[in-house]
Parts: sequence; C-alpha cells; structure tokens
Amino acid sequence: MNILTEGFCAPDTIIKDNLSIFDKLKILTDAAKYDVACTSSGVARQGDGTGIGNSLACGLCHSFASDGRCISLLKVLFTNECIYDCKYCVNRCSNDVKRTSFTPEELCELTIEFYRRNLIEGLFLSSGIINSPDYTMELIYTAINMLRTKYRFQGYIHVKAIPGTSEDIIHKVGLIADRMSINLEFPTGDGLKKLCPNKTRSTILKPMRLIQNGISASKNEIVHYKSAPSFVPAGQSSQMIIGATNETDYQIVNVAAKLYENFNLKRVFYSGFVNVNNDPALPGAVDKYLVSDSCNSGSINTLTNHTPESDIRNLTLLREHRLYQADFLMRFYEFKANEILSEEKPYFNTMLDPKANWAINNLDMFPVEINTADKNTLLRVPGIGPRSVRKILMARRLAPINFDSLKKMGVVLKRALYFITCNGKMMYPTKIDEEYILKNLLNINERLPEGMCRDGSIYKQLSLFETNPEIIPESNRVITA
Amino acid sequence: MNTNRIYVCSDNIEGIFTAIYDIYTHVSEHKTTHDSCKIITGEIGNFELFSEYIDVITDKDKALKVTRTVCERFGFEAYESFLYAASCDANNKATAIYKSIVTGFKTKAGFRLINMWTDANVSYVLELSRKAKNEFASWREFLQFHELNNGVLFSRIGPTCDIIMFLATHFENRFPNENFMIYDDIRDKYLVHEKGKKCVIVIGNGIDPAEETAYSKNDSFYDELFNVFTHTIAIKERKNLKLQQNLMPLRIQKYKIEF
Repeated sequence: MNILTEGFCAPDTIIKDNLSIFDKLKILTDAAKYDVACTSSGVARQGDGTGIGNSLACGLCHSFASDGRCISLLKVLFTNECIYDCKYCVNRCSNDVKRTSFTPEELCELTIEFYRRNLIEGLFLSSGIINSPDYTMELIYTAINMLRTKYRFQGYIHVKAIPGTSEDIIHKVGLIADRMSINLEFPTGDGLKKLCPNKTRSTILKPMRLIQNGISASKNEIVHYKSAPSFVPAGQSSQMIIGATNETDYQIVNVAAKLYENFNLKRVFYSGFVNVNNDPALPGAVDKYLVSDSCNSGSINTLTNHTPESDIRNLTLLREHRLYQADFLMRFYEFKANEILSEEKPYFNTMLDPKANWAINNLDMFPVEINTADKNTLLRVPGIGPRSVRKILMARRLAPINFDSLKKMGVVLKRALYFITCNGKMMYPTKIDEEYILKNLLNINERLPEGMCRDGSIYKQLSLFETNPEIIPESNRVITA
Repeated sequence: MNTNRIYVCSDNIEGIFTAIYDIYTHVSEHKTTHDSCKIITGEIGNFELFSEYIDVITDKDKALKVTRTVCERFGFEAYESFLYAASCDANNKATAIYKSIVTGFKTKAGFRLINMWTDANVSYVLELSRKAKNEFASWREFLQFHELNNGVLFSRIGPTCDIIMFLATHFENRFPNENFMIYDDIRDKYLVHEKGKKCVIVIGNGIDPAEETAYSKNDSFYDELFNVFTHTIAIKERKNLKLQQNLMPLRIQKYKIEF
C-alpha cells in the first residue's frame, strides 16, 4: 500500500488490518525505539492504597535490551500514522510502513499487566501526528487520563509533547503526567529547516516554554497550598540527533547548556544518528565526520567516503558517549560549556574523557590536597565523583584521610593518583607532566571503537580487490605520547 | 593469661545485637577490655587455641535495647548500615559491627560514626552495607512476578545477600491490592503479602515451591508480549551484548523471562 500522494496523505485513507495486540505492540515499539529517554527518575510518590503503583526518585530499570539500553518504561507510540515528513524519521508519511494505533483500553491494559508483573516502571507515550498536533495530544490525553482515573495507576508516565500543541492541552496533560519532553531534534535551526520541513524552531520552543512556566507556577503554588496538583513533577527533558547534520561538538554542548540555563530542563539526551531511510538529504551520515585528535596537537583526522559504515557508527557512538560525559560535567560537576570545549578546539578528544582532558590542560591547578581542598576543587579531579566528594568532606572532619580510605570510599585511584596528595604525599612518585600523565591515563583500558588504535590513528584493513583503496596519508595521522 | 572470648550467635541482626549486649555485660562486670572479644555468626569453622567459645541465645529484649542505643547514639543511618551489613554473607561482619560500636563510644563520634571511613571496622561495615544495598536495589528492579492460577503473583529470586525483608516496604506500597509472594531460592524463605495487609516472612519449611509454580494461562500471554517488546525495542545497529551483560549479570538473567 502506497500512502504517498503528492507529498500529502490523509490518515483516513490508510487501510487497516485487524492486527492482533502482538503485531500492534511490535509495530508501535519498533517505531518508538529511536526515542532515547527511558528514565523513570525525578519524582518520589507513595501509592495511596487505592490503586496500583508508586514512584521512586532514583528511577528503576527493569531490564536491559540487547543494545545495552535500559528498559524502564513501556516505550511505545500511540500511533505511527503521521502527516509530517521528517527526513530522518522511520514513521514519515512518505515511508511505506505498516501503520496502526492502540486503542486507549489496549494501552491501559498492557501497561497495568506489565506493571503488576514488575516488568516496567510506567508508560512512555509518544505519537505520530494525526490530523493536527492538538488532535493527537487530545488522543494521548484520553489514554493517560483513563490510566490514571479508571485504573488508578500511580506509576510513572512520560509524555512526548508534539511541536505546535496549544497551551490548554499542554496544561491538561501536564497535570497527570510525571515528565513531559519535546524533542529539539537538531542543535541548530538550519538542520531543522532542512530535515523537518513541517517543524520550526518556534513550534518546538513554544511548548517547551509553556511546560517550563507551568512547572515553576506549580512549584510556587505548592509552597502555598500543599495539596495543589503538581504539574510535570519530574521536570521536562529534550533530545537532539547527533551526527546527521554538521554541527561541531562545541555547538552541541553550548545548545545543551543554553537549554539547561534558559528552559530549566532536567535532562538533554543525545541520539547518535542511525540512518534508517537512506535519504539523500542526510549528509552527515555518509559524507564526512570529523574526529579531533588528542589534546596536544591541533590537527584533524578526516574520515572519507570510503570509511566503512561500521566505523562511522562506532565513532558516532563514541561521540554520543563523550557528549553525555560533558553533559554530566555540566550538571553535576559545575563545569561550564566553554571549559569543556572552545571555539579553537570544537571537537572532543577521542582518546580521553572531557574531565581528564580538562585536568591535563590545566595541570597548574594540581596536585590537590585531599584533606584541605574545597568541594569544587575536589569535583574537578578525574576519578572523584560527587558521591566520593561527599564522603571525603564528611570523613576528613573526623580524621585525616589516606589513600587506603580513599580507595574504600570508591575513588578511582588509577585515574586520580596523578592529581592528588594525601597529607602532602603523592601515592607514588609521579611527575606532574602532561606527556607522562597522558601516557599513563591512556593505559587504562577504556573501550574504544573497534579499529581505533591507542595512538589516535584509525587503521583500515586493505582489500586485495578494491580498485582505489583510500589510505589515510601519513601527515594526517595523529601521533601522541 | 588472658584467653580470647569468642561469642557464637545466630546469623541475623538480633543474634549479633544479643551477643553485643552480652559482651558489654561481661566487660562491665569483669572490668576487662573489648580487645579480646569477637563474634562469629552461624557455624564455628576452625577452633582457635586459647579461646573460650560462648554460645549466645538470641534474646529479643536484649537486641531491642541495643537497637535503641544504636539509633539514639549513632543515628538511624548507622542502624540501617548495620542491618544491611548483617544481611551479607561475610565471615567477620559481626565482629566488624561490634567493633564499630566500640569505636563509636570510644571516639564519641555520635552521628558521625557512619562517616568514619578512616576506621578499618567502620569502613568494612560500610563496604558490606553498600554491597547488600546494591543487591537489594537490583532485585527490587529486576525481579519479575508471574501470575499463578489463583491470581497470586509469584516471584523467584536468588540474591547473594539475605535481602528479602528489605523488599517488603517497596512492594507493599507498590501493589497494595495484590496478593503476592517472593521466594528466596537460596535461603528457602518467603515474603508473603496479603491484599491490604503488611508483609510477613515465612521460612519455607515444608512448602514445595514447585507446587506454587502452576502459572495461569494469562501469564504466558503477557510473558510473550513482553518478550516481543524487549526484542523490538533494541536498535540492531547498536547491538552490544557485552554491555547488556555488564548491566544485567548472568546470575540474575537466569531468573528473567526475556533472556
């Protein structure tokens, strides 16, 4: 069945089979899997005894899929019918895929039955767009309202807001959902314009602002009236696709920082681009991907069209990983975006995590004395996280700390030992020297993408029968330490 | 010559606290020190020379008195850590708990006792309690219920520490209107919850778990649905079985339907 008619398709024209719940779940899960957020954290709520469910602030993961991502929520689309034609999306209206949708009863039944078997922590509901954003959001509202009232479900509900939804519906949904999110899709407006012809920056940012205002208004109300209903108590999140457009890492980190600052987001997610449509408008996927080298030289290693797709995929995953590391530095370690990357060095170091990278570039601030340094200084030491810092601060009030107790507290000494002293002594006689520390830190086995050497170069298997084997020229190869 | 006094108590927090009570009584009566005392739980392995073995009979009142003192002097957080540490399967946990309490009184650490990572005994207790807490946290999220023919939800777990009692509050609150039971495979213990009531622990003497595992027809339907879900949600291009196994160890995987 071809549903494409001159770039426009009316959802009513789609032929629906009488699909079983198995097929529906399969289709609608398959369509939802590229959404990243699957967290159930941010809200602590006790059950009231009348229904089913509660919620923990830390969030729970009930299983892990074979890609290593956690399964916390029943992540499905309400429907995969869509009137939009976003180039990267598997559900775009120009794709010929099987379309279906849940009925509210089916969705509630499924959620409750999974939930009481302790298989999921709640529901993550997103949707393709039928008729209009408002119409679709109304459908979503009906479903989750039924879940909350008829089934007395008190677990976690995450709802995706659709760009361009009007205020009253956002408000209505926000009062019964725990978290709402609206996808930023691309870090820059240009990328959005090119790849999502039906979405604009303003239709995305407006609902985001509405949710933000709703949350802060609700927090103020709760101060005055304890029983006031809370609006999106677990906060809102957003996600960006990485690697489909040509932004630098610096741009992406900056956008994330702005989102945290201006929109009070709880989380920003990064989704390494998976090319499902092979659309010619997606340049980043097959064209060029730039990998920065290690911290000391400024040269750039370029992958070309001949780089195998698996290498690109691995690098995209590494890039995503580095972005999350930077994201955590901004949220929990009081780092600023411009401390992590800069105009001059806009790409992440592939070999080193951003925190170690920062430490190596700022060796004048080290070594840090564990027994006297303040909280923010301790947080900047590689191998020491917020939890260890808390323990250190408490423990050193009682007695001076030595390396043994640090180890017991959970400090990763193999990273930290170059940057700290305990009672004026270092753990081993080490040099505060960039090259020396770099060499030793790189010896710690972090899993790097396949085909990538520790010296920063990328090797490629030569094929006997390839007509024009592209070899990275010697001058472009990065040599470090 | 001073002989060592080794107290042998039952392997639970009541036993350990009773032993601590007995030691303190002995020390204050005989004006001796705490250096020569030790507590071991469960069975005696190798007998030590120059040691006196004392069997401790678990006494609820004595244990309660110690509990109260610990909570008052060192805080609830400390008590919780002792509780989790006691659920671990480690040889010298009882002595570590006891010596931590001694250190707490000696240094007048008060509520800060639990931050004393620099003390060997306290840090060992904290290490054990972290281990037990992690074990509890993973079973809290990973255990799966199956519906029996009579509508009761049944789950089988195999934790490395004896954490079944910690699961009670969480699931009681989560499923107030369900009848459910959780069965600890390794220790033959049940946690049983009746609709609208508090959980109870049943030591599984004589109950044959095989009898309980007549799953309802409805159950395999949802098992299969969940299987479909878990396999579809994975992105094939990102397949990473090693990561999956890191996050979900094999010993837990064998209790789950989707593996």
